[in-house]
Amino acid sequence: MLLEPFEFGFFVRAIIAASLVGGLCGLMGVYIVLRGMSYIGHGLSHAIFGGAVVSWVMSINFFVGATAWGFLSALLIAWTTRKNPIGSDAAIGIITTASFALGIAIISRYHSFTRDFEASLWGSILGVDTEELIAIAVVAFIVATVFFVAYKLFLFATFDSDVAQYYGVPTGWVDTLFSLLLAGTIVVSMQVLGVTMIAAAVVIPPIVARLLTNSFRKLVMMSTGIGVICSVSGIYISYFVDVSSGASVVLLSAALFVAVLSWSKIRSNRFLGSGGGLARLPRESGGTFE
Amino acid sequence: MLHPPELAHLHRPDPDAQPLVELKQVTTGYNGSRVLDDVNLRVMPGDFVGLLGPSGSGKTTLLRTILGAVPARSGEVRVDGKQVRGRRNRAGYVPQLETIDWNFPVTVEETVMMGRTMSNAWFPWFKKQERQLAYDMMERLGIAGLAKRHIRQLSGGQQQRVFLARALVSNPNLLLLDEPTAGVDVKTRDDVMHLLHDLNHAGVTIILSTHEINTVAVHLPRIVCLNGTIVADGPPNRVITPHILWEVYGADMPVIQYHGMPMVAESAHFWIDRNGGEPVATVPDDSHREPVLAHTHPRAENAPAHHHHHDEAH
Repeated sequence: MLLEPFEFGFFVRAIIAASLVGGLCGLMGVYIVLRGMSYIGHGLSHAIFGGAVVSWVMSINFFVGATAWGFLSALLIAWTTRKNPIGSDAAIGIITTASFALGIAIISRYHSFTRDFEASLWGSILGVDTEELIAIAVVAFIVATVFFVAYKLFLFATFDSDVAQYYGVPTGWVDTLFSLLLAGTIVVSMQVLGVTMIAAAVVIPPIVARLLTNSFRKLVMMSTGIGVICSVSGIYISYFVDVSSGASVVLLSAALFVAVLSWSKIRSNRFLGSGGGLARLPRESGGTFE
Repeated sequence: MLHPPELAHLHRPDPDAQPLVELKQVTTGYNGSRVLDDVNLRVMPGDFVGLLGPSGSGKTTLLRTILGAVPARSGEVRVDGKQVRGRRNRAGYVPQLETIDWNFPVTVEETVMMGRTMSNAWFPWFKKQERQLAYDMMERLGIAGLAKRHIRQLSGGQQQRVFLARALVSNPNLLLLDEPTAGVDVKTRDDVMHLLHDLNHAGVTIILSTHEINTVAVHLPRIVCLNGTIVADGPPNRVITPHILWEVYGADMPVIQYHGMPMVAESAHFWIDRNGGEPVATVPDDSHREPVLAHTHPRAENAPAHHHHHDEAH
């Protein structure tokens, strides 16, 4: 009975896609959250929705068109905030919402759409075809390889971009590469999780992992693992309770977050100052920063 | 900790040697605003220089200019004889502790290892010798036992050592520190300054910024006073004078001599006797004893370095 769904080809594809997307979002999420870019993930998924519609209208390959659109939006956001006195949250709000609005405008103008864009909004994992599965696998492989090979560069650039620059880290290239990986991640995750659910899938795994470890290396591994577990279990549960796959994954992740947060609160209350997780030791330095 | 200024010349290397850092008529700034103007500075190998000045006087900008992170708009910046214009210069850099994200999930060891990032950049892990080097450095700085701790779970002095270790594992011959004693207690400040003196004696050229006159600047063999440009440059007993401090801080600061070292007293206004607008430090009429503070203060005799640690200029 519990193995019943695995008899269906579409479900097996869905579970593979879910584990890849979950791990991908969990891994990417570490860097997104630590760079203080949680909101950009949310915004970019909306921007890419516009790009997806535009590339469909212009009959460009969806993955290529949407990734390029997302990448350019990310660069545009970075450029806007660097050259002008505009906060990044405001820049994200303008650029990504305008892009999303463009997508909606095109859809409402041309009613006769054969492609179902609703899947991109809410996520539809059970409709994952082989082409999508390959795209997900390719992006997951590239992202994992880059973060593995350039682990040190990304760690230093994420921790303190300015100082990393003084130590010779090519932070400009690191940032550009990051924007590209981010766009690719969101494009392939969008079909599975939905534009509206992506932010949570990206943010929750690293936050949960952060409650459990203080080490960056462990955080990266745990966040990826938590992403896989939440995503796979979310999809599995969604088969039985018949809810949208994206919503199911996000609700499960949120429940895990609440559980781990409560556990870490209880633990830090019981062993006051024992370190670990959220325990915040007061600075023993006597002095204050000026 | 006490390094009498008379001994300052011992640190002076051969005047014909090539300077390690050389700035010629350098003007820098950010986005249209000019921070430093016409800066001329020569730092010789083995020097230990303190950049002194109030907030916004350009101390950090000068450090960033030497690092190549702020391009010189005009003039020339050379490190080790090579022009750094538009190119990042590799030097050990210790940022101000308050700029660190203390919630970031890194352990002490992970932070120290960042100093080796570019030695083998496109390889996911560090070599065994590199780990050993980092461990030896942590051992030397007394933080080896804390390697697995999170950076927040340390005292101020330990935190300072972590970032010092990160700078030192890349074996720099030039070490730049931005306010290494800001926000740390007296004991830590003393430890950090001792450590830096040891490193300097071991041959590392050090430039640090500070706004603490007595507790830091006076113990360095050379002080460069900044306020948009270089106001004064020399040993403490030449530089720490009421006139120069007025130029730098725009405030009256009485200077007294204590064991041959200049000290800036607490800025009690009744100490100041203005002669024709020029601020001159004198003691009130009823007491003509010159080092009045030193003899009336009960702790001054055995703890001179910690004396007046409050009189930072604001």
